Amino acid sequence: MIHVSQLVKYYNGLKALDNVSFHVMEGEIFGLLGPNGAGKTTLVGILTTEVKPTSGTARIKGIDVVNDPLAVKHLIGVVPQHRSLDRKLNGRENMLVMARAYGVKNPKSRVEELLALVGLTDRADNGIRQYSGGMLQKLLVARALIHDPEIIFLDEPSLGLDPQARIAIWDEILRFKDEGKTMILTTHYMEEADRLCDRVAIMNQGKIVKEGTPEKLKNEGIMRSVVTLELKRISDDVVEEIAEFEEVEEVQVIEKGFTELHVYTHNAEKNIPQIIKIIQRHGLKVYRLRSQEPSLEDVFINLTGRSLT
Amino acid sequence: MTLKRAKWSFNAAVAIFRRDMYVFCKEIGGNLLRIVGEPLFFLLVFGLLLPDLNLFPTGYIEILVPGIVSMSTMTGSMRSVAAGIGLSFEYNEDIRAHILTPITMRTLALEKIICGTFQGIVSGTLVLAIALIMFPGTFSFSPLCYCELFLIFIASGLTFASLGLALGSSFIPETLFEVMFISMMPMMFFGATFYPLSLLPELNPAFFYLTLFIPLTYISEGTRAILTPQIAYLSAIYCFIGIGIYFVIFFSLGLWAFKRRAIK
Repeated sequence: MIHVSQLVKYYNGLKALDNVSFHVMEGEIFGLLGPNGAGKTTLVGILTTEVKPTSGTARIKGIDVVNDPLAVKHLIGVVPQHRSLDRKLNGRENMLVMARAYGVKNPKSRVEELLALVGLTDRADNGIRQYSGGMLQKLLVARALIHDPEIIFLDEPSLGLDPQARIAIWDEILRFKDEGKTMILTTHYMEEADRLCDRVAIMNQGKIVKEGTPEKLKNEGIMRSVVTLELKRISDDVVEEIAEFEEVEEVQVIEKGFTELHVYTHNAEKNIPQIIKIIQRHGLKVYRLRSQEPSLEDVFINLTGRSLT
Repeated sequence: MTLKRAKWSFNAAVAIFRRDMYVFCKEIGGNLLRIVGEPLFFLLVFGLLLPDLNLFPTGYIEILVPGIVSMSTMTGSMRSVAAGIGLSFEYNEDIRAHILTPITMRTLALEKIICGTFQGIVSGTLVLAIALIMFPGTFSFSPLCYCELFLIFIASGLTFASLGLALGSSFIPETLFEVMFISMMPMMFFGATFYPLSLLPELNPAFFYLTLFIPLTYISEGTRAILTPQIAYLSAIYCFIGIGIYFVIFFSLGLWAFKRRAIK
């Protein structure tokens, strides 16, 4: 559906995209994950024909985004990061302008259909300035769907939204997936990528540093779980014994009035019973145990050495 | 571009033009004040007050009115496009939504120019109407003259809306209004607005050549050629050639600047 090959983009001598290649299959939600300045918006800008690449190619359904931008624009819907809604028009008028611009048949009924879909019918005659962040985002989503595009680009769709509005937008996105739409989603919310995306590309400094399903990225061996055990006290012998397990990468002892043992392991499932056995053998008691699975955030930090937030 | 794509682009341009006209009508009060306010003050002071105080000769109205009408076509078209584009790119960002529709950047730029031209024509027509009411019996012209005036207004609107597009696409709003002031002031005062070109060759040849370089001169002289042919120096045909050259320059500049700003 979308093929990107060796895309490079320079802005005033600065490399914003560095040899980026990937493909997106039909009906897939593909996530671009990375911090601000990673190159996500530039990449989406190229695919939505707003940015011209310095070199490389990008094709959507076989159509080159540089050579035939009009055909590409007809195929795609964009929920941009910038809230490019017309503040001089109300919600309904905003939609109507876009419906006419895309040559939608029966534009008025299509607008009403979409306003109802995102639950904005009652507020459609209000000026844009009276809309909350969540309502603006819903209107942007509805506007992107006006010509029933096959592919939707969502650039930071839940940025700045409260948790409730964020979940409402996620529900919309999952509904589009059920309808078979292909989506490219940029985000720097790990939870968003983890929950919505079929595949994720992690971007850093203009490059894709890792690509795969969220599960694959988390379990590829580069990641570790953290097993935390609370004890009254601990001896150096126990720590040394635990650290000798092949899968254990690191053991930390933290004193908080009680002892907290952090065991970083690549195989928590195997190591937890072994660790408990060692502790019991030394006559110690575990008061609390928790195991934290690696998150995409951990993957990102591991790959880039940077935090997303 | 295939016929299908041309149709998409045309549809989008019509939709955006409808939107622009709707917004213009919705804000008609403020728009009229902006369009007519400044020329009206010039007409009041230079056309009524100063001649009443015997500081200006009464015949000066015949020189002044064509100049002010021309100036208003320039300011009406140039300001609306420059400010609209500049603010939209930088703050409102609604133009980004228009860029994403299936429209070529050339067509979108043309739509903005046509919209500005419309405002220039409205501006010139209103100021002329006010001048005719303020100074009854001063000007007499045939229906054919209205058609010629309309052509001059269109030429002025297209030229200065193109210049507005170039400026609005090239500068951020913080500097745009200074740049507009710097570019409009010489045109307003040296564009044969307040004086006829016919007096300059003998009295001040250097100023004559300077005035010939100002694009508004060709609109002012063109309007004079229709309203007060006895004062005009350049014939309408020379005025159209002059303004045509400036149109080609400003249109090319405007298109280049707009495309550069719209597609990064």
